[in-house]
Amino acid sequence: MKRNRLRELPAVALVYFSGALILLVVVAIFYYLAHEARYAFDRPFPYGYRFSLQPPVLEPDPYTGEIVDDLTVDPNASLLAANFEGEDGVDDKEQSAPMPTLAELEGYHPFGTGSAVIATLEDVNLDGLYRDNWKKAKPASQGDSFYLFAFATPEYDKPTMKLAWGPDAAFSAKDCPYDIRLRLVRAPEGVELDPFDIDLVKHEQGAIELPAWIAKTDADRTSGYVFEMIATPTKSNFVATIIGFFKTDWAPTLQYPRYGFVPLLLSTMLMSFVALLIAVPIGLACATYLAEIAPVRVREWLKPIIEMLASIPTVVLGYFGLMIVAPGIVKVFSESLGMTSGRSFVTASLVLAFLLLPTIISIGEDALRAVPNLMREGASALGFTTRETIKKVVMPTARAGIVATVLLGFARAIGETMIIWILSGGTAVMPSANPIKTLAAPTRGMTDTIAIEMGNVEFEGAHYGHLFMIGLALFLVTLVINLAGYAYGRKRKWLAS
Amino acid sequence: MTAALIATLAIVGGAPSPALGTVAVKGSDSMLILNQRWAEAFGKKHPGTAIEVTGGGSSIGINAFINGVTDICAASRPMRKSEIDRARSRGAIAVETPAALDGLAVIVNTSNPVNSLTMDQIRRIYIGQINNWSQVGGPNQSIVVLSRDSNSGTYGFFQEKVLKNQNWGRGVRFMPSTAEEARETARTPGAIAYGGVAYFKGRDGIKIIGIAPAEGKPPVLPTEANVRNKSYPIWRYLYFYTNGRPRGETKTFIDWCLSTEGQSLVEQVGYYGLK
Repeated sequence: MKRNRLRELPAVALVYFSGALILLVVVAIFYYLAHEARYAFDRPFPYGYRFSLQPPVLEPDPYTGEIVDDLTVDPNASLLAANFEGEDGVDDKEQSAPMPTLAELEGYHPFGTGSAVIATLEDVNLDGLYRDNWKKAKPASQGDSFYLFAFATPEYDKPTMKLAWGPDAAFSAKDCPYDIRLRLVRAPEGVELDPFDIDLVKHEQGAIELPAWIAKTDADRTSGYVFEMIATPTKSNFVATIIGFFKTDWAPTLQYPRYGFVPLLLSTMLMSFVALLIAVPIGLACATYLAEIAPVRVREWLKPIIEMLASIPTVVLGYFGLMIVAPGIVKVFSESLGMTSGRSFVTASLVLAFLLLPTIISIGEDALRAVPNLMREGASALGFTTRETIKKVVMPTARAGIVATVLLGFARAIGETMIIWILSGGTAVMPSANPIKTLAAPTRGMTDTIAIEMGNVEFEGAHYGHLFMIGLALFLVTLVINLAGYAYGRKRKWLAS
Repeated sequence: MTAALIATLAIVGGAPSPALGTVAVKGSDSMLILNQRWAEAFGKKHPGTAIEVTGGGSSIGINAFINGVTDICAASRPMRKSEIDRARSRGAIAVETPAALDGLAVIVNTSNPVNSLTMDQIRRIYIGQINNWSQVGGPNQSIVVLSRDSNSGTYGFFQEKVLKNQNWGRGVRFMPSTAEEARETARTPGAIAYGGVAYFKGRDGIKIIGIAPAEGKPPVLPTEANVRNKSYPIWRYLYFYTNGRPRGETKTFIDWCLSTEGQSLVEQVGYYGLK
């Protein structure tokens, strides 16, 4: 007896060792994901507005019919943003580019924002003003304030001018953790204007009228209107990053990136769910046939074949889906779903279901076969038909195993990358409330987002960090599903005993 | 064992050249074929120098450059300021050398009667403001908008240059490769897509359309002459980045790429030479 135990020792040690190793790897992966995800929190939150001086021009947009205040500068009026670089932030280009002259400003179009940091207004003098990348909109970030100088050139002949503002392309003040305000700092001598303080978060787009002020010399420019745009943080970067992560807009390549991963999460979960809806009934029916009804010889042939199907590389399945399934789906559903391209939610789900089938059949069959034969014989002795035996004896007994099969399939579907990448269409948008529209629309999941974007991301930047945050979320989702399956199995065992 | 360890340390420590007589070129996938062609032809002339070409994407090449494990970084987008700063903090001064010109063509299905669009129309199609061909003088058919996925430098370039940094529309489908875009466009009557001119030449079912730089201006086709004189609005440089001015074999290679002989290969791959 004792000797036998001794002989088993190496095997037992090996089991414990492997267990410990797996645990270690899981912990290491978790640590690695969390460690790299920290770059997401280094994210600077930029903000950007465009300002312009113009006579009021309101024309409907030719395509949308919307009336927008076009933020282009009236050639006779001008607006400057001043930029003072700090001592350590001196940029060679900016140092050699002083403020534009009046001649340069003529005929000049949209005006960009600045990232100026000025300590006090007394520092403003003409020699120290640099053009802050003024031909191209540039985002400013936390704690920055910058000054705008408004004036009209001598050709301007109207009694009033208008200061209009609007957010930069793709900038949304509501997603930005700042309180942004526009204030009048100083009106030119002889001009009566009440001081104002406009909340730019509430009024993202707007305009105010000003009495015209003409600058005749370069020196006049800084003695005109002076406005200040100032951004005060309302949340810490950490909180803002977390809030941003749970928003519904994934657009990481914008100048003002948005990292809301909810559409990716929903899309992954829904695609996997639809795939399971298709694969589970078919797969379990096949498993039942194999385990309970099929003659031994048929099973011996079929099972290895089905298991071989499970070993098809997913990239092959993906391209099979693209070449065969996608055109077929377009043909069948072009009328009813209004589909124009086969790269869509429904195609990805279908091929995903095909991927899951062999797994579900194989593991499901194992679960059914784990039911002791004694129970089948007992049922038979009580006069149950095969159908009744399956329904009333085998299925309830194997329930824990079947649930485990479904959950395993679910985790497999969530982790699948290649098929989704090839077939989903790659559009990160929230699923529509109309299920038919969602099925026909292109979509994008979590895994393929990581695969697509990791190759072209700035390493150790905010986007990189957010991809690791998604990895972390993926890891947690599959962990929860697996733990749920485990807990369910435990509970069933306890009930049975 | 010790030798292997030293070799590993040398790479980790950022030795500029992996081995004597080898120039490592790493980066952009758009430039991969071009780099391979250059490496092959250069190898025939200079048998003493091996050119190691790897792809992976512009960002991967830039990261390798920052870590000092490649001699040349091939990039289809200019390095960002943060990347240049990071390279500098690790002792690498990024020097940019434009190596070739690339014009991005916009394609539609051959059955589509539309032969040209303005830059503004293309922008509105891609941000989802225009979604029927009838809005731009075509048939009453919804537009299937195709793009490269963000794995590619082309994507970012198009977003910046054509979309003016606005967000993609809800219905835009993102394709894993330019060849896929071409195939899908050939299959789908209402499709529009963009990509390097090289990938679209001589393909059935698609046609390259002219682009008007602004409303009221004549449309321009992405021909060699038009891209080179920059009258075609969507073009970009393809870059080589080196640590400081190119030296030694790296310089020999880059100089050869920029020579008439090297530039003639550019056209074979479908990009345009600088001169």
